[in-house]
Amino acid sequence: LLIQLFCFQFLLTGCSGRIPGRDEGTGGDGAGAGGVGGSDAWPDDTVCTPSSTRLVQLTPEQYRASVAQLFPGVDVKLATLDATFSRTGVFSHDANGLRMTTPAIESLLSSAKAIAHSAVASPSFRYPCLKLATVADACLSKTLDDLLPRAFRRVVTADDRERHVAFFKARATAEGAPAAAERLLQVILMAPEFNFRTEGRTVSPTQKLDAHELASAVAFLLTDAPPDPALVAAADDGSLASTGTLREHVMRLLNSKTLSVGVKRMFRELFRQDLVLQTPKDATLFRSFDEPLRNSMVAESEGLIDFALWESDNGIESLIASPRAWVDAKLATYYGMVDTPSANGREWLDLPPERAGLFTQGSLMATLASAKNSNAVQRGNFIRKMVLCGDVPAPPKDLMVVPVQDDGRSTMRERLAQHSSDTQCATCHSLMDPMGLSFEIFDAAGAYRTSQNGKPIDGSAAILDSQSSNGEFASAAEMMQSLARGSEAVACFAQHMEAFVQAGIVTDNCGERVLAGGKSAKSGDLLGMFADALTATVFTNRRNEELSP
Amino acid sequence: MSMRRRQVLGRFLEVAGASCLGSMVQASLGNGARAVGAKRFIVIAYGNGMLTEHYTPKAVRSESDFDLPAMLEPLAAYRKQILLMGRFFNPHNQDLHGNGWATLSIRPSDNTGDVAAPGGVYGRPSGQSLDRMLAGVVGKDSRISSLNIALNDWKGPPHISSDGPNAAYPPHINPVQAYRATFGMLTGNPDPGGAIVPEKAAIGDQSVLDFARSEARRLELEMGADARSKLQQMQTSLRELEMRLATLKPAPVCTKPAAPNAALDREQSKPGGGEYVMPYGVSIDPKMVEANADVIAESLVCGLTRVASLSLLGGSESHRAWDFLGVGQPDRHEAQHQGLLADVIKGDKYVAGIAARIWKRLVESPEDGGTMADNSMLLLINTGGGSHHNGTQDHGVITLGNAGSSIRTGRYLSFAKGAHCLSDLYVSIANAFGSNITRFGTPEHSKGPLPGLI
Repeated sequence: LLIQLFCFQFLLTGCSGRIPGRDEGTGGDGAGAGGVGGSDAWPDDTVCTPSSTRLVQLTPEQYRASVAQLFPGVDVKLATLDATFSRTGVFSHDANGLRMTTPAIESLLSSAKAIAHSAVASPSFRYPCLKLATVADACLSKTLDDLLPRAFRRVVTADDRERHVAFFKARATAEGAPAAAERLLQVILMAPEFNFRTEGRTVSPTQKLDAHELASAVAFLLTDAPPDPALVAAADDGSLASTGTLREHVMRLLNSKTLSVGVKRMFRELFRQDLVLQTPKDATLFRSFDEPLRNSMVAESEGLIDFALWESDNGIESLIASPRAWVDAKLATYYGMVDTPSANGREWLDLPPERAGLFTQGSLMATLASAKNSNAVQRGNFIRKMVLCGDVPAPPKDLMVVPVQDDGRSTMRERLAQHSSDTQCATCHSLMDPMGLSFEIFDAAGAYRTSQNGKPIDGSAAILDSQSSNGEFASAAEMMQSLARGSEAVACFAQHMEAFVQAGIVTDNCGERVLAGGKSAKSGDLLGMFADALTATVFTNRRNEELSP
Repeated sequence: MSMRRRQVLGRFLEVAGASCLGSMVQASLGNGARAVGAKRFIVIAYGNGMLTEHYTPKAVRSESDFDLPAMLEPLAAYRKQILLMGRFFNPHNQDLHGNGWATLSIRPSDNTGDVAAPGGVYGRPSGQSLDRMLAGVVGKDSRISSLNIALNDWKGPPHISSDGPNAAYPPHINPVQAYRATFGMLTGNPDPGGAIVPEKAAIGDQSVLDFARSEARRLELEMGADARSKLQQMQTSLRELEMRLATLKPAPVCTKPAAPNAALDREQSKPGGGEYVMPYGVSIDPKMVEANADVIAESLVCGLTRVASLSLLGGSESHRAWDFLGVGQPDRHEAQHQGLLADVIKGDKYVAGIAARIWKRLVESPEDGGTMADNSMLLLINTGGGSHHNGTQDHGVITLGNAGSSIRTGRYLSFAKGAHCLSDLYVSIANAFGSNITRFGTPEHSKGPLPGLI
């Protein structure tokens, strides 16, 4: 009980009212969540309180995609925003993480100037009449009618047009027409409505996002880009207000591997896929852990995520415990696989028995380790957070945390024995070590090993203090296979997905619990879960807290 | 009893338990607060990990008579302006790899000490940093409220400055970018002290910024509270940028400096300017660090800003080699872990030399019958990097300068271990710069101003 109170912070506080689906032990109440159409009986999430109205700032990637759509042909690398738009949350579009600080505005201005200059100078500039010495009013109106709705991703008003006309004319007087054209583009690229997307700008206490807000929210989340023409058309004609039509568009985007850039980003950022490219390793100890191998590991992770999303019958299970991997010859050799692909290709091949799914891949094992040594605590902590959505609090304030050093004589399990013998340590380390130690069969560079400092490694695993996954296992692979079959990992994944679609601002855990109770979640259908999340009331509605009773 | 009198009495009572002198300190600091306008604050933060020997004089004959620790040799010329203090603690910097934000905010973050976990090593800031707080006091009328530069060599946030919860204040990542933001839009002044006027193009920039500001105001009217605060921040930032484009009447000693070498317009970890290079083992480039320091010094001298931070931390900076100092492998990080004091001191001595480089420029710049250094303070602080880098309980701090006679320098003060959180020092510094705060960071760790500073 003490452990539960002190260390274990699963989100048990629920939403007010009935939570259908999982809580009732039923399989939801409708047809396949991956299906299309208004007849889909997606579990009723209207009991959940919608998030409050907000602004979500575009990430540098989304900014560049917006520029590319607005000014085709312009080199989007001119937008140098990355240093001042660095993320501080799990996801780069985290609504809390990005801020318009002075340095951010500086980089925004400098990017806007470079892009505007390049766009106006381009022979394919879409509005050549703006470059004339004298710009006709008709030209200006036509330009703004085309440009502003695409830039602001909404229907523009006469007032919008008039403000920009007045600005252009003032700059034309001061700087001449060609310069004024650049200035016009600059103010559009600097505009809050270009750089933020709004979620709920009307004044009622609770309201549905307007169709264009919804189109932007869906598009930026799934594709990291502004709405495509089909989505804009559905917003324009009002059809997007229908849940069925909304779901059709969501599925259309999700079914395209090319368009679903944002979906892939979610996994990349959540599981820190590309950190293996940067993670420091001692080159003298791990000579074969070179740049090509790191790239092979990233490709393996991407391959598995693609498979889980678009090929697998049960994406979550595949992600956590797939017995096969997308490898090239270099990685297959590194893993000691029986078969190897042809020289330059990649193939799906059976993994050796010690590996199963994403969490035993070389990329994560190498990332969750220091330059020289594996790190069982870090690995256990990662599983606790990413698969079980549990929390492990910081050590007590008076405790000096000293990492266990490799003494050259013992195994990590022997060295971490202190964690279980010392009550002060055991309280929290029992949440991590019994899982993490099973990954000791992978060294700091993710290679398989059977011994450490001349002693055999005991790769057995145990899960303690989980909601429903407790058990003892012969190996990390067996533990992951068990987790993949259980409901706790599904619920945890729903939590990650809800955090992603809500831009990091989750009012309560109602939405994720409803999501976890849906049929898509139960069948591990990741695309279906995305569709469920993006058509749920907690996503399509916003609440104005100041007006709420 | 007025609130102010109650506060003063409260402070007296708070401090009296530790030192009666403390209450007098507070009174004196109040007087010091009158000369707010001219003061300057600089912080240099570096990582990670401390050895107590850095900050402990080998021989202490009295509070003002002690041998400078080896790492401070570059500051020997300014010995009388040094205040060396030891044994602070930072309760929020104890996770395995520390909480970088806590260095200047004394606030916890969602940092887990786990690079791969949500939030990464540095998590998110959960409070305002000292430099940004002072930017609101002495920097609010400056063209640049605070100038922040950092070696950016990690794809996370390697900086330490923040405006509040979740509100990181990102730094410029190299001297060329910092120069562009400070002197870049201004024409030269052939005569020292002559007016520096904005370039013609900057006038047009102003119109763009002004228009964007009015658009932000317009949208603000349609949004809820959270969105409004974001738009208000955007307006403040736009306004600050607009102010930089106004004509500047600088100090007589100011001459617009030459732009740094354009080759430095890159991330520190991209030595060739190409693809991202894994920072491990890549040497720190001293040209980059020194040019960063020079932009800060010249911006202070010319009055573009009154608050500056230079972060030599970087997410992985401590894993970097210092080839030019002969500290390759083991790197600074490993050297600290292995207790290789000589190697650690080489790196830290270099950092002290950077502090001396900035301070020298202030000392050489006349102001009000003295020098600019007379009204300035430089804080040199290690970010700690968690308890296994000895960064929680035994935090040594060095300051230079007395911020307009607000503190007494040329001394070594060693407090009882655990007696004072860094926040007590920060309260004193804030008071010296004209703020009336009595607490900083998490209230339960902040007792009030540090006793005995005057």
